[in-house]
Amino acid sequence: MDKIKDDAYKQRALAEYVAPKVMDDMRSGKTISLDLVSDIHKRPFIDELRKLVRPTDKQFIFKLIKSSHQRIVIFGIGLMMPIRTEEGVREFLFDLWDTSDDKHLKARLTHRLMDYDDLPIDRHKEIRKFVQDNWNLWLSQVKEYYDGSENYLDKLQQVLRDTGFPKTKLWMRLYQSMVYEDKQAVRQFLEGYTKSDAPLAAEVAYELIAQIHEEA
Amino acid sequence: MTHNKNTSDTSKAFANYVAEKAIRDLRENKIMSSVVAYELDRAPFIDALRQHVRPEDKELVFALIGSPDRNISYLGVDLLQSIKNEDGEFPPEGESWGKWGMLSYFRSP
Repeated sequence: MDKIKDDAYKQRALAEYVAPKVMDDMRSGKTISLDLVSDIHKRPFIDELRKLVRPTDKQFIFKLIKSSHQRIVIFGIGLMMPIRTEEGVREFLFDLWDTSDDKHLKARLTHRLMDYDDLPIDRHKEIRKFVQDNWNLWLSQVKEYYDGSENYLDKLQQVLRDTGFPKTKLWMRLYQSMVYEDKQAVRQFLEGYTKSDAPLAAEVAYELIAQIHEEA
Repeated sequence: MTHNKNTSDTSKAFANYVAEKAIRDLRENKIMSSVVAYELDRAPFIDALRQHVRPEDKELVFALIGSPDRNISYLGVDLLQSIKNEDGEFPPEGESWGKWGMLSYFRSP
């Protein structure tokens, strides 16, 4: 047996293998089962699916988000990231955010709203308040999404060092760092952002450092 | 031969979905990578694949076993049981392939 020990590499290979079939099935109008959605709406599968999304896929993605099943709606929202600048997408996401009472749905939506780097500060504050008020739910969804991701904090730091990373997303990434189990490493990571000039970032860094201190 | 470790939290529905694609690709002679073969040779994917492989797929199973890539070859060996006939017997060629596959397995580190 040629042992392949890197689980992330194996998962990525499997995701690359199966993603084109998922996209073909959805484009041809085949129903995606709820059970299947649980497996493909997490990394690395969702990343591979997003790579394959084209502007013309807006049609089937809008059908997904009209599903009566919440899990499929949320999956559809997850696929909207690559088409966020297409006509009608932004309006749809913010209408949903403003009108829905569904906390599970809104927790997922926070990530999509943050894809827009021109949000007014009041929107940032509103989204942050939702994250704070629904902390356990929000963090559990982040954990589920990154299920099996190794060296999460290292990868997060790499993402933040990327010159193309929008500063507007920083505060939410800082909240996401709390999925990492080694809280002392998270605290050290957060200390690097207490002087950040990105919107809300320094406040969030201090908030989380205090939270880690309280829980220690 | 199948890896002992189950792929974490993989649902049967997903395993079946992947298996359907894999068997269709194999029947169309599409090339499978070594790492994908390695993953498919783990539960629950291998269980799902075995459900899809039929005795008439014997040629493709033999082709897998004959692959120079060990992960692909072992996947083929693990699919041998699905090409037995209604009496539970291998097709004539299968006996030798099966023995070859098992020998290969026992020699592997």
